[in-house]
Amino acid sequence: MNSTNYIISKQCVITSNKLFVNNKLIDNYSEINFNEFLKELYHEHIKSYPKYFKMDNLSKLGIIAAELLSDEFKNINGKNISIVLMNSASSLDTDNNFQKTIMPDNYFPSPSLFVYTLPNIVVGEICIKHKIFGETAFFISEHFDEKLMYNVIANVLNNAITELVFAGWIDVFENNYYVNLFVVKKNNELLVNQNELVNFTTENLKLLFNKYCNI
Amino acid sequence: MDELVEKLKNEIIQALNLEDIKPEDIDPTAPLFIEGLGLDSIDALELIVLIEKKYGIKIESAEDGKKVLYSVNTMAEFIHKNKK
Repeated sequence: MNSTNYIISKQCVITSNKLFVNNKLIDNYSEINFNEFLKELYHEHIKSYPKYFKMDNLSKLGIIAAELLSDEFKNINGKNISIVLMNSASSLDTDNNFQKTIMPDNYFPSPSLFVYTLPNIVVGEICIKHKIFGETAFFISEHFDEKLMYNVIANVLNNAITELVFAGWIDVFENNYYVNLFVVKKNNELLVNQNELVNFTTENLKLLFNKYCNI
Repeated sequence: MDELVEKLKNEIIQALNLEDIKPEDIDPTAPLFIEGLGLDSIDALELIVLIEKKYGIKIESAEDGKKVLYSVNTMAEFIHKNKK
């Protein structure tokens, strides 16, 4: 099977206190700050996973987006699911918060912040919650690199083990954030709602990414 | 001592981001780990930092840590006994 048989079956975007799934606005909280927005998303979509509140903002955003896309992979064995994520700020948001706990005049390093000072921790959190055991990768890139993203996803899907890839852009620094995650999977005749499906191409990845960039 | 226990409950909730848990939900005699609040190893480290930061007391060994962090009451007793 080559990459022309792969489809982008579902997309979740979180930006500017709004949440979209497949282009449909699901949540819009214009009057609250980012932290309150993250709390509202939890109560709306997660409900009973207290560990969420111990996570950094990058992981919280990943957990929310994964939840909204999870019906795409709930019937697939975790070893057949891969995750490929990308951002530009790495874990700088949490790195800065941790740095505040190691200032010479106030040196009390926070263990709970320290464990999130790597960008790929969000991948681990998603894997734990959804029991995903496949290949994972996290790339740091100044801009969304649709060619790299396409090549990595295609490569992973060309592997017979992987049936589905959870992928996309997830970036946060202070109160600025942009999450654009999607599911790419092998096409098959069981899919019924063909209108919602987008062909997996470099151009479509770029289009999907750019569509919400300036909201 | 009761005052210190209540203060500690609030500090624990804040330090460990225990959303939706109120001070009155915490039984001061209940184990903090596995049962009770179900805290984990990172929470234990965070509590050690809390005691040092807020009360200026260092827990010197892992063995002491186990005893001190057993419950809110044992934390309060340790702080009461060692506060400078």
